[in-house]
This record gives sequence, C-alpha cells and structure tokens, in this order.
Amino acid sequence: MSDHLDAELSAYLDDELDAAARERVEAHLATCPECRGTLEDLQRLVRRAGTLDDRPPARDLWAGIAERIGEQDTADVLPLVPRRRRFAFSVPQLAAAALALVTLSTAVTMLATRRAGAPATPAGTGAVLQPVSLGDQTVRSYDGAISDLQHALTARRTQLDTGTVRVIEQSLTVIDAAIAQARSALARDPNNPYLNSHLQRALDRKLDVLRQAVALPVAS
Amino acid sequence: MATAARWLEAGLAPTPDNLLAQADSERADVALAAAGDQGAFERLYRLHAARVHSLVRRMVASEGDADELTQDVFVRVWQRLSSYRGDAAFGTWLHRLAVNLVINWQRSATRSRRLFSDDAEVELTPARSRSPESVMDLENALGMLPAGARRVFVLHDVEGFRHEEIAGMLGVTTGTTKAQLHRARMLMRGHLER
Repeated sequence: MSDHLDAELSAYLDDELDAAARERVEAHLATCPECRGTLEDLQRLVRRAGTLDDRPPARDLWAGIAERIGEQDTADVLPLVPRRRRFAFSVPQLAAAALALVTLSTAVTMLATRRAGAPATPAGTGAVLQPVSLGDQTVRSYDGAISDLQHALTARRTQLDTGTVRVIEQSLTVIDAAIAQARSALARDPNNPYLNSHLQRALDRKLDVLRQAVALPVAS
Repeated sequence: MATAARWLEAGLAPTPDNLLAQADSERADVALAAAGDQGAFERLYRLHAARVHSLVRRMVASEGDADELTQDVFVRVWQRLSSYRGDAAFGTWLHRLAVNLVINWQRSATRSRRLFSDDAEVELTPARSRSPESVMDLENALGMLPAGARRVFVLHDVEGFRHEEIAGMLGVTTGTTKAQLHRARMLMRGHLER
C-alpha cells in the first residue's frame, strides 16, 4: 500500500482524533501491516521516553551556585500555606507506652486550649497559618512529652526489629535537623508565622513517630 | 540525602507517610531557603539537581551548556523564592522555571531563529552527529534531533506537558508543536532502528 498514515499516527497515539478520524485510522491499520508496525514502534518510543532515568551532572555544580547566591541579600520570608498534616494512629498496642501517652495527652490538651483562644480559621481554608508563635510553656510541654516517649522507646528498643529501629532513628534524625533549623531560624525571626508553624509541625511529627514507634509490636 | 532515599536505603517502600515526610521536609527547606538559609537551599539543590540537569541537558543536547544553565536555574530560583506561593508543588514550579529559562536562552542572541518560526518545516541540522560505533540509545538519539523537534519531544513525551502548554511557552501554534512532535518521533524511530 502506498498511501500510508503519517502525522495521524501520532495524533492517534495521543488520542487527539475525533471519532470519525479515529475510525478511518483504525480501518487503515486493519489492512496495513507497515503502518501497524510504525505505530507499535512509536508506542514503544513514547513509553521509553516517559520512563527515562534522570542523571545527575557529571560534576558538582553547587560550588558555583553557592558563590553566586552568596552575593545576594537575604530574601523575604515567603507566605506559604502549609498542607494539613495527616496523623496515623495505631491504638491497640499502646499499653506499654501508657505513661508516655498520658504525658502526651497533657501536651496536646494544652495545645488545643491554646489554639481555642487563637483567631478563628476562615471557613473552607482549614490549613491557613495562624499568626501565633509557640510560647516557652508549649515548647516545654512538647519537650517533656518527647522525652518521655524517647525513654519508652529506649526501653523497648531490644524488642523491636533492628531494621525498623534503624529507620526510626533515621527518621528522627531528619526531624531533629528540621527542629534545629526551625529553632535557629526563629532565633533570627521569632515572630515569623511560618517558622513557628514549621517548628510545631516538626515537633508534632516527632511525637507522632515516637508514639507509633513505642506502639510497634514485638519483633517475632 | 532526601528523606525518601533514606527510607529506600533502609529497604522500605516509600509509603504515603514517608512521602508525606519528604514533602514536609522539602516544604520546610523551601521556607528556610526563602529566609536566607543556604544550607536548606543546598538540600533543595541536591534533591532536584539530577531532575533539572536531565531536563536541561535533553533540551540543549550539550553537557557544558546544561551545567551552566542548571546553575542559572538554581540562582534564579534563589532570587525568586519569595514569589513562590505554594500553589503548585515546588518541583513543578522549579521545572517550569527551568523550561522557561532554557527557552529564553535558546531564543536569545542569534541562536537558531528558525526554531521559533511558526512553520512545521523545521531545521534539519542535528545537534550532534552520530558516531558510527556508538550504541544508539534514547538519550543519544535525542541529541541527534534538530533543536526544535527535540525541544517539543522532550517537553511532550519526556516531561508530559500538553501541546497547549508547549505552544504557549514557545509562542507557536499547537499545529506546529504537533507537527514537530511527529517529526521528532519518526526521526527518533529511524535513529533507534539503525
């Protein structure tokens, strides 16, 4: 057959044809093995293109970037709207950490009380930042709850799978770094709402990780 | 190292919780970088460097230009972090900025004005010729495409932009981008078949 399909093949592949054009292409494909072969080649090519692996630069480019941005002034703090974080509870196995959870509940209650006095969140914008900074008392409550849970986790450490413990510790390291950075940034800008919110979320996350860790079942 | 990479290194799948932790970590780094924290910005660079460099390298088909442009992209990001509102994911914003920067770079000076002609008959000069003994893989075949066809192929088939978006970025019609895409695919098929 001499009258082969051309650009219609890509349009067909990308589902851009109307019903009539699509029917015409399919009728042609039914009788033309050459065009079917071309279409199959193009399908393979597009699949491969969509799964290409990324490759880092052959040399580290950071030094050049750092040199150039080092000449810049500090940027303004951006008014980000954080996503509402999602909690994942694991209730049934919390008996071993009961004492720690009592302390945690106290901290959460104090936070809830504090939040109740904060300005109301506009309707439908649940994740809007509250312009509050964490007070010393709230931070101490977090620190106390975290300390208790860490003791509970230490006591349970030998009962847990070593791989799980490693992942937990890695996760806590990341969170601790975030907490340290937030505290460092807050030392320079104590009333920044995002940084306060970030610190609170990092502390919440650490509590969450610790709470789930102490509730994990004993390794078999 | 990215949080997700840590989980993977520990032999665990990136669960929604783990990915959420990564997103939170990235969001925190964006805020810290916008507040002037270069350490946080370096973490963002490490997280996205491979992705941005690959995108740029495929669009310009030159490792040297890709290095320089990748640095330009991150310097531009640093300058514009305060304008990032969080409406789109940071990675999406970053990649769009990278695409626009590369397009403007190609558009500037005297670089191939015909690339942006609203004409489906694009230039036929490949970015680099084929070495006869080289094994032709997809990345190599990409480098052999004429610049206009390569750019549309990368944006559509690799990066997943729609024709309307690509046409808007390039200032041409969707008829042109569709013609360029088909031409690029057929040329790629020819290169890969050899």
